[in-house]
Amino acid sequence: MVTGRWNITSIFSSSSARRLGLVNDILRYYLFIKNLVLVDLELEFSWQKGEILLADEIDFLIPDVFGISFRRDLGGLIPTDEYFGRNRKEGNPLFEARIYITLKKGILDPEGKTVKQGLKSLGYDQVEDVKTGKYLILTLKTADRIAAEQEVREMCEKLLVNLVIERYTFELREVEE
Amino acid sequence: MRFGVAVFPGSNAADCYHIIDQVLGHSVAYIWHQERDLTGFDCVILPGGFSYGDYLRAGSVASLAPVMEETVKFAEQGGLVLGIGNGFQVLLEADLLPGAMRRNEIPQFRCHDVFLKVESNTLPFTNRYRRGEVIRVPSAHGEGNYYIDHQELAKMEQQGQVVFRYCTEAGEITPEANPNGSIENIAGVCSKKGNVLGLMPHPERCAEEILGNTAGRRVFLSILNWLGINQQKKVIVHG
Repeated sequence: MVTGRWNITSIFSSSSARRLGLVNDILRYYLFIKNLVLVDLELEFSWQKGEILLADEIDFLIPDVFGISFRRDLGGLIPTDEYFGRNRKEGNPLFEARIYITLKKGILDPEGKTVKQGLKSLGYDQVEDVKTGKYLILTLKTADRIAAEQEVREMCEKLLVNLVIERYTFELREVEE
Repeated sequence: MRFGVAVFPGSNAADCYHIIDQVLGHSVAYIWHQERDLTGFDCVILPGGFSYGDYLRAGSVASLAPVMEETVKFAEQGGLVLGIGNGFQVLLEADLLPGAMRRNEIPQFRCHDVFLKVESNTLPFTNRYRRGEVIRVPSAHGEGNYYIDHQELAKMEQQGQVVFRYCTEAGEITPEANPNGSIENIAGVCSKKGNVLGLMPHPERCAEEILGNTAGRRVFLSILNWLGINQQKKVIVHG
């Protein structure tokens, strides 16, 4: 039995693999309409009794914040207790919230337009669109992750984000003091 | 008859104060943003400027100041609230007026006179204008691109909440006359009850002869008229 494991993008040049790109496209579209970006997709194949068996594996997804896909270093797996901030013997855990704020779809982004012009004048004609936004990092001490999430959401909706024209998303991670 | 001009860090409150005090000869006081007592005021003005450096979004931090908490109550009780320029942005952020401000479509701070069409003259702030009248008013802002979604806009139009629109000298509402990209050329809107008005251009900067334009003075005269005072006190010039 032969087992293979390829990243779909690395085998994209061969014609049979290009057909497999369909899987990528279908998934990407499916997730896109749910406001998620497909960052990475791996397909695993194996031979069994003369037939190719296929299993797929999606590494991780990130919310579509800036309307572009990119892979970030999100680190390794986080133990559940740590994730929920329940790992401590004393005191409340400290969380870092990274908040991304962008204009809603359809709201004109003059700043992005201007940046795009700047890039074009440098010769980057391949740039189709530039969207600007705000990136805020705040740290907060709360009982646990659930409480931190709730408070960050409240802060966003009361002050940090103008929901008439903006949308937001955030990541939360526990940090050392 | 007493006017209050709110002062946030970064407000240009002096010009409003000057017009009421020196040009119209009425009682006016500054209200520091930390104050909570609005008793005795008939009209609260949120002046132009750059409150809190326009950080985060223009007007967003000012909208949370103690004086704004009281201004919201004041407006709910029917008190007159006028927001000019940055004051308009504060009113939007405080949810006293519908909609939001975006950066100007042409990414510039635009500082020049604009022509405004008075769409409603039944308000406390516009009763000394004719309906459809065109006035020339100085405008100076980088974030005056008014936005509201189409459904809300339709409601506002129906309820007569669109008060001023950018227009040509002849009164035509054209894209060329729009200095910032505002939806439907909107320059000023009022609350449902009509007691809260926000506008981007500056009527207080064209309210005395020496400036060569008095078109904005009637905003203040309208307020006085509405408050029941038609007679202006004589200004005594010393020296």
